[in-house]
Parts: sequence; C-alpha cells; structure tokens
Amino acid sequence: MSKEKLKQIFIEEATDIIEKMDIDILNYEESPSDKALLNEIFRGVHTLKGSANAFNFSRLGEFVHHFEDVLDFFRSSDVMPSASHVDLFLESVNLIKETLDFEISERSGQPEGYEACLNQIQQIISTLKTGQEQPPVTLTCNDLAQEFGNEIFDEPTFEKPDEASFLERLEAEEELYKIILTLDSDIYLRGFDHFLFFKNLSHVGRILSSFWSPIDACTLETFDSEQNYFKRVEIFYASQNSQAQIEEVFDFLEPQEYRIDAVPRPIVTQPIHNGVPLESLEAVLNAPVVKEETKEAKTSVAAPKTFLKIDAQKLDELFDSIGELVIAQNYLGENGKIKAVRDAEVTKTIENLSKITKLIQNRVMSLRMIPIRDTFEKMKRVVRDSSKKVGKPIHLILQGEDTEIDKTMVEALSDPLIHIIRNSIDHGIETDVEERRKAGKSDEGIVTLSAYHRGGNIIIEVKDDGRGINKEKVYQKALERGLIKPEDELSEAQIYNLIMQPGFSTADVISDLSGRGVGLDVVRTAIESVRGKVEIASVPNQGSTFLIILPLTLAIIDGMIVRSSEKIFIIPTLCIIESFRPAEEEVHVAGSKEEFVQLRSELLPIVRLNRVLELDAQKPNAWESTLVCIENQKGKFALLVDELVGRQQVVIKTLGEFFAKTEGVSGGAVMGNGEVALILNVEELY
Amino acid sequence: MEEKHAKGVGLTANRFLTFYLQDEIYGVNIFDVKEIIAMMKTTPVPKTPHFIKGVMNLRGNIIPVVDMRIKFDMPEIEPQMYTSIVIITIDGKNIGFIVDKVEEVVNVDDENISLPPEFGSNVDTKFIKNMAKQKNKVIMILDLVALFGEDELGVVQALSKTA
Repeated sequence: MSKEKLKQIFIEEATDIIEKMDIDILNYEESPSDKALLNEIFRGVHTLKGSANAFNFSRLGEFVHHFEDVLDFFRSSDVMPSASHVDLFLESVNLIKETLDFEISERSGQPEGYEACLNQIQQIISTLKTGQEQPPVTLTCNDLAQEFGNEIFDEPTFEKPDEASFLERLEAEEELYKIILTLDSDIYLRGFDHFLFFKNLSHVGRILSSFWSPIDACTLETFDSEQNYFKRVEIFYASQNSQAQIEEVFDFLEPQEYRIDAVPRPIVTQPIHNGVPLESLEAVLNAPVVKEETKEAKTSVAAPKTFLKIDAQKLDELFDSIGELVIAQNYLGENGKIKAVRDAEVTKTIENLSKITKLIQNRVMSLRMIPIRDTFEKMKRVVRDSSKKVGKPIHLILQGEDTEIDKTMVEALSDPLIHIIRNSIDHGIETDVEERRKAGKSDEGIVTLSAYHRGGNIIIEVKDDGRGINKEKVYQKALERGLIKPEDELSEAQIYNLIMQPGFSTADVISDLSGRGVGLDVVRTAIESVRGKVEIASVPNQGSTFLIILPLTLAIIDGMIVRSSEKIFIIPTLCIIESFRPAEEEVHVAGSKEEFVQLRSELLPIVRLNRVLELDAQKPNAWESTLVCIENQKGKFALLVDELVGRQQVVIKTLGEFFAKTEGVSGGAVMGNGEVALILNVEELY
Repeated sequence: MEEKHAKGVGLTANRFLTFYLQDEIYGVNIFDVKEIIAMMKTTPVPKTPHFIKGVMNLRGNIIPVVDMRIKFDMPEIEPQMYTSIVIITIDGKNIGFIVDKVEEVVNVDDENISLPPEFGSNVDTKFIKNMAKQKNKVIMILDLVALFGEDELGVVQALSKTA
C-alpha cells in the first residue's frame, strides 16, 4: 500500500476519532466519575499521537502528546477534572481538528490559539503534578463509585466475563459463541423452558458457562411460577457446528430475543481481569452485580460484530440494479400474456419472485440507513457552546436516536439542525430567568430533539419551551421588508413560514449566534434539497416547534400519478394537500385569463398543467377536470389535470445534465411498463 | 501500426459504425458506441427543442433521445421496421440517437479518409469530422462532441430556458 493511501486512511480514522472524542468529552462532563469513558478518550488521543508521528505531522503530534499527558493524569489519579478543565479539553479537540487540517493541507504555521492552548495544558500538568504529592486521604462516596465504576441497576449489566479463559478451553475445530437471550416475562406461556432449551443447546455443542441476570428477580411473596424472572441470560458456548445449525435450536424464539455472536480466537494475548461467573442462585441474589470497568475489560470485550466499509458508489450501483429488478418484476406481474397462463406453477413462481424481490429491495434499502444518533450527539456540543455564549442554561433532551435515516440525508441534516437549535436557544428561550419563572417554567431552558416515523416519513422535531414566535412581530417585519403585501391573507402557518424567507430577521439586536437573517432560509433550502419540508408551530409562552419532514429515502418517493393531455406525470405526494372536482359555480374567472377556484374559505389560483408545460392548447372546463391542491413555497394553488391515475412508490432517477434546467420537471421514474414518467417540480409550476 | 495519420487519426480509430439517414450514410467511431437497440417508446420532455425526442428507460437509467432526422432538418417520419436507437457515450453520458437503419461496422484505411468538403450535404459541415471512402460509397463521419458536446448542450439548456 502506498504511503499516500495510508495517509488517506489515517485522515479518515483521525476524523472519526476526533468526532468521537468530542462526544465522549461531553458525555464525560455529565458523568465525571466514569473512568471508562476517560479511558476511551485517552485511547483515542493515544492512537492519534502514534499515527501523527508516523506521518511526520509534528505539530499535531506535539499537541496531542501534551493533551495525552493531561488525560493520563486524570485517568490514573483520583482528581476529578473541573468544569474549566473540561472546557480546555473541548478547546483542545477543536485545536486538534484545526491542526489536522493544517497538516493535511501542508500549510505552514499554527492554527490560532495553538500556543495558548498548549501552554494552558502544560500549566495544568505542572500544577496538578505538584498537587499530587499529597494524595487525597479521605475516602468519599465518590471514590468508591470510581473504584467500582458503579452504575446503579438501571439496566441489566453484567460483569464482563472472561472470554479469554473460555477461548483457552476450546477444543480443536470448536468455535466460541456468545449467546445473549433477552426474553419476555410471558415466555413460559409460549412454550419456552430454560431447562429444555439448555438441553437442546447441549446437543449441538458444549455450554461452557452461563450468566443469569438477577435484575428482574422478585421476592418470594410475589413469586409467580408462570412468570419468567430471568430475562437476560448470557451463555458462553463452544461448538463445532455452524452458526446456522446452532440457530435451529432458537427456532421458537423471536429474532429480537436472542443474539449469537462468534467470539474470534485471539491474535494477541488477552489481558487477564477478574470476573466471577455467577453460578449459584444464592450467590446471585446475595451479591450485588457490579460492573467492572477496568480498561482491559473494555478492550477485550469489544463486541465481535464485524463491519465492512463499502464504497458508497458500489452501494448506489447495487441500488440501481435493484431498481431495475423491481421494474422487471413489475413488468412480469403486469404482463397480460403471463396473466393469461392459468397454471398454478407459473402463478406460484411469479408470486415467489415478487416476494423475493421485495425482500431484496428492503434489505438493500436498509444498507443505506443509519441511526440518527451520531447527528443528535453532535448537537450536544452545539447546545453547550451556544448556551455558554448567550449565557442561558439549556438542557437538551434527545429522543428516538435509534430512528434510522438515509445516509445521504444525514449529511444534509447536520447544518440545518445546528441552525434551528441555535435559533431556538438565541431567540426562543427567554433571556431573563424571571420571565421564565413567571410563566411557571424551570430556570433551565429545555430544548428537545426527537426523531420518529409518521406516515411513511421521518420527522425530526426541534422543540423549545421558550416564549414562542411573536406572530404580530413577524407579520410587521415581513411587511416592512416587503416580503408580503398588506392585502395578503395569511394563515398562521404561513406567517411562521415567513421567518424562513431570505433576508428575514426578527432579532432586534444582531447576535453572534444567529440573527443575521441568513439563518433560516438556508435551513429551508437545505431540507428541500433532500426533498423534505419544514413546518413551524408555536404557542405563545409555551415555545415553538420546528418540524423537519423527510422522505424515508432519497431514492424513492411516494407519488401521485396524474394524466394531462394523454401523458402521465408524477406529483410528489408530500406537497399535495388534497384533490377535488369543483362545482361550476365555485370556479371564477378574473379578467379574461386568470381562473380561481373556491375551496372552502380559500380562493386558489388554477394552474393548468398542459398550459404550463406547453403540452397543448386545450382548455377543458375546470368543473369537468380534477384539481389537485398543492402547496409550495409561494403558497397554495390548484393544479388542473385530466384525471388522477393512482398512487405509487417510484424510484427517482435524474434526467441528467441534458435536462438539468428544464422547468417544471425535477426527474423521471421508470413505470411498470418500462416507460418513463416525469416527476413534476411543484416549485416551478406556479 | 501505431503511426498516426497527418490529421491525428490513428489506425485503431478507423473503425466506424455506419447508419442511414434518408439516403445518406453516416458513421460514428465504434468506440463511442455503447449499444444499438430497437426503436422504443420515448417520453417527451416539455419545453425542450424539437429534435430532442424525449427520454427513455435504458435498463433502469433514464437517457435522452435525439431524433437525428430533425436535428439534420430532414423530414420527420414514423418509426419503420429498421428504425433503431444508437446509444452513444459522450463525456461519460449516454445519449440515444434515432437513425433510419444501422448498416455495418467498417474498417477504413487512412488513405481513404479525407477532410469534409465545404458543401454538398444536407448537414451543416461543422458536425462532419471526416469523409471516408469505402468501396463505392462515401461515409460522413460525425463529430459527436461538436454535435452534442458541451457547447451544444449549453444551447439546449438556453433554448429550454427561453422556450
């Protein structure tokens, strides 16, 4: 492998490490007694140091070296870092990031603050080291907590069993498996029996040891013989059989109830650490379960889950091929000649094929999906920094971090989220604590970041409990800026949406954080570029909510298929509000050209699709056609089409550079019959 | 063998796919041809120049299709039995060209290749790179980059803007 290539790998790795460090330090700030976390940070820095020196990144190496010293000190002493220390840690991570950029681009000099930060670090080391001469004698609760890495029984934790010793006990051709059962309490009612299960398991291999979590154990008085109290069982298991054969024993368990991981044989000698298997029930019930968090334990019990790094390009190609497969499958399914064959075998095969195609499609789709956790974790830093800057204490709540989202969307999501969060902290949360108290709110501003699924979309919600958006103020400002006219009738949502117009800012004082008036329209543009939508809701004195609505994936949209002038078009369902056929008296003509339709209390302009796209000059009566009510940036309008054909999920394809600037069309989709239908760009229709 | 022609046309580059438009034979460098398919249904794209027939589905990818007859100001005809679409790769992108009939692949010796005359064809000579003599026929070798290279694409886009 060439040096260049190695360097590339280093840069990738370093970026990952730095990113993780950021998050780890923030988490560490919350639980400063968590030595394991500190160790984790230390290890990251250590790795960085080694590689930096190997590539002659001397500035980075130097900096990281001192940073490592500080961490090492805290790691191996009982002194807990103060808040200012943590600040310095974060500052250091920033500098590491910048220094790395300098090194990569081979720029000379040092990033701003390099020397200052380094001096601070060295200062800390010297003061700490002298203070260390008298080690703290008093044993406090904190110290105990540290010693044991005590985490209360809020989740089933196991002492880390000694995998190394199990590996030693393996016979030739045997593999070590770690089996984790996560069972329900009603499992006996479903015919499961721990005893029988163990017996069956021992037919295909040897059970080396098992660990039974006593967390759910009950007292004798409340004991119910039909309930399972051992919900979590960890088994170390040696077998010559393949994983598939072992899995047969698990047939009557649901997939989420068990996990089998192969434990690879070690390449290097495993460090020895203590962990006593809990073998008798008494021992279990009498002894508190203690999670040993020595650093050795952490390294050796790294989950044997393996990951592959795959070129995103290859994944896209696979995705394309699946698209073709789906189309071919649709073609087969819809083919009249095949349908005419009345043969059970043929029908069965086609149905089978359809099932498999769906399965493959879903699996490939899931390859691109990653949990939104990392993006959310990054926001912790944003909240922390902004909160310090404006001097408002903020508590960030994260919800639904496991919600999965298309990888390409994750990248597009980060900046808008930062913007919205900063906006909420800066404008949303009250500056005056008294104001909050009066409204019966806690002193700490609360920002909630949550992600969830709703009706085929992914929703990301940023909610603050601040003063809410002042509707009047927004309206006045928009008038002043000429964004709206006095005669415009606006709904509440439309007024809120004004704050995302370019050049809009309601902050009376332009702050460092946001309020330059370039913030929120960037948010909307970014979200729209991934085919999403932003909605704002607000209640005075209770706070505001920003909803980011995203399609499940970028590759597939839910589309409404319409017909106009004998041609088929697709409208993304996300922008459609409703479709209707108006009564003759509801259609009004203004002057000789402009047409309007009355929909309940609203008057919507009618846009004829065939006219906008210059398909033909026909002009059927609006009351004999179908109107589709569509909302875009500028507002609502009624699109006139001949008829609705149906609703369908379509795979989006670009039309290529050739048609990049074609107005009104954003892409194409291959339909079941192999023909291409165009996807309309509703922003450009009206 | 690697000796270059005075005009920079290497020997290996002298293989052409020939096709008919009306009564005239045209050729394109075989290395630019991705494949030839039978005429299939295209979807017209609104507000594009007339010679752009639309888009079609090439095994899951959507590619533009150009009607060569319209591009060369010949009368438009309904697809016939031999009407084909020649898929050509230009700057890494595939474009389909509707032609009347695909003829063959020919090797032409260097001495039979000459510069195009200034007149004598229905086609604007800037699209014709060379003339190739083969037996008793004359093949007009098309310069695809001039036909649908960046400049022309720019024109297409500008057209669709004003249309």
